[in-house]
Amino acid sequence: MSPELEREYCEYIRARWSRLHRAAFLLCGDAHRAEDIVQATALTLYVKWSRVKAADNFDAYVHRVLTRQFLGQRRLRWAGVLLTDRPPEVAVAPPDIEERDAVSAALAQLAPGQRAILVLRFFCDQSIEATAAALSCSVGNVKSQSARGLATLRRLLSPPESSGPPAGDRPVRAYGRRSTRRGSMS
Amino acid sequence: MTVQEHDDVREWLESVAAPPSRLDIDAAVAAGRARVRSQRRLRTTVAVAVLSAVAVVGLPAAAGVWPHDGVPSPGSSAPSTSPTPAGCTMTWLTPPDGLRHEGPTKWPPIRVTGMDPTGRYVVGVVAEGGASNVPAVLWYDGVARVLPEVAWDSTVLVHSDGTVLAMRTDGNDRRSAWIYRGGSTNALPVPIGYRQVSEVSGINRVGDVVGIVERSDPTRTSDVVVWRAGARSRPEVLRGPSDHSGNAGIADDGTVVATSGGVVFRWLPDGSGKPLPLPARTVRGSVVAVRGHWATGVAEGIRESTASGVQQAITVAARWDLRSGAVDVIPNPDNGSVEMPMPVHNPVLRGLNAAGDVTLGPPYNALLRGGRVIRLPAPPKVPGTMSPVAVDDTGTIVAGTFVDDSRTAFPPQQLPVTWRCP
Repeated sequence: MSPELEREYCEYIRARWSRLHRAAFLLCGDAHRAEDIVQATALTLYVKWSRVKAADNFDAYVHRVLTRQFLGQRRLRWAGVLLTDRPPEVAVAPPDIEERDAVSAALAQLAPGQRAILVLRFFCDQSIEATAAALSCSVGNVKSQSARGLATLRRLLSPPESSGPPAGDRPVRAYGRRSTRRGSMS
Repeated sequence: MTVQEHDDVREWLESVAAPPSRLDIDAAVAAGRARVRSQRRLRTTVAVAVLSAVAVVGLPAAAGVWPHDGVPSPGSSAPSTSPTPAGCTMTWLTPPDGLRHEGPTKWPPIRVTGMDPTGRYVVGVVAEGGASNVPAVLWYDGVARVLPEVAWDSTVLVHSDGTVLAMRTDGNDRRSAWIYRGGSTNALPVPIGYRQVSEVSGINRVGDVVGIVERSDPTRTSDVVVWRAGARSRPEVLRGPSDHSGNAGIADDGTVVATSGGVVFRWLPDGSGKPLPLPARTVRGSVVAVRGHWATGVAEGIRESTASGVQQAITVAARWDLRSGAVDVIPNPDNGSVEMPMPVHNPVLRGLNAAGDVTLGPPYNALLRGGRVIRLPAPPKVPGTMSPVAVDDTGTIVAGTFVDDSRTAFPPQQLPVTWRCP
């Protein structure tokens, strides 16, 4: 890679690392796997940087690489390995860990493909078409899986039907209170 | 679903705060460069040509003068190297100021444990007698610093991007493997069903790490483990025909070589494994080092004297080309024989580079480069032994330790050194 291309790559990675890492964490729900996914993504982007730059939809290409790293890792046989002895430096709890846990737990209950669709569409702001291209599936499939994933997410993050108003008027951002009833989520 | 509901979903997802992640842009670029190089090498298959393109980096002007009594002290205008007729020069690597102490030796004994394939990074550990965890030193272009963690075990390796691999032993004698990079230290995860990492013994050009792990079950059997670059959170365990012992190494294409019950075993990147052949007249072997597409090891056999009928154990230095699986014998540099006697407690065969060049420790003290024997010099008039442990990919820089036996202190003064052999 020429110095100029390498400089552009570094600028891009510096600017987008945090966002890509957050997307990876939403996809896998595990801090260490997220680190692996985003590092593997950065590596792939370096190797294919000329092609990435030439892509019609730059961000879509990057998100496709990220998503495929996530889905590819799930297929590997050691995906479920237990992690131990990690240093404390990455174990700092964020301030609102209960909210994060509720949304993360809800995301974890979605099928990987549904989770990827929701993350690509609503966190990475990708169009339905770009999401379909990233996942190598049809637009119709993205629409249907998106609807099903959203319905599941709503159900998991909303208060119980018995104590609230009709379903159509139900508040959808109840996860802050949800954390006190986590036992009922299973 | 309405626009408002979509916004709600966005807020949910935005509310998830991922744990902190630290970008190491230099490491990302180094890994990318290494991957590009690796792919290019695979495409061209002209390994030697690529290896010769690896930059030859001069050894440090910052390296110190010989610290032995009777020679000028640091800062004088004395020459810092010891020339020999063969053309190799030995240079003392100055330890960091933080380790300096009062007394005749000025520095603690330091043993070199590794050097990266470019020859720019050298690592070593303070060799104080009896301590299980000791400070480690990292030199870059001859400038030294102490690694921030104060407790390291004896096994310390370094990659060409500056990543350092090391072992630690905790208060319960449990061992763990660590990666130091860009100012932070991370443990390598232990696979499920395993008690500890017994050893971390190799890292290839792309950053795949190989080691040995010990099972949690009562058998305490050891298996080979690989932490692939970009997926180090998911170690892969490779099981061989029996318990593993000694070193394991990993080639640049991901091929793993380890010793399993006297058999030198090779796993290809697709996970399939089979034994490597042994040299003629030998019956068991063990791997010592792996670099590029080469592996070296020691094979043992029996020689029967025709005169007396007495059987005698022999040792042979073996080298495998991992692309073909073929083995050849590294000849004894003193007499050209296939047999190479090796002291039990002082490993002879340590250094190996991607061109297949090797270093030999005492009593041979040589670099075998492209079929030539190049002797490694000791400092003049200083009794002692040398222990070369690594050679760079150009075959011109060797790193190791010189043990100065002229002193009476215990342990003997161990001096980190490099040899340059143009």
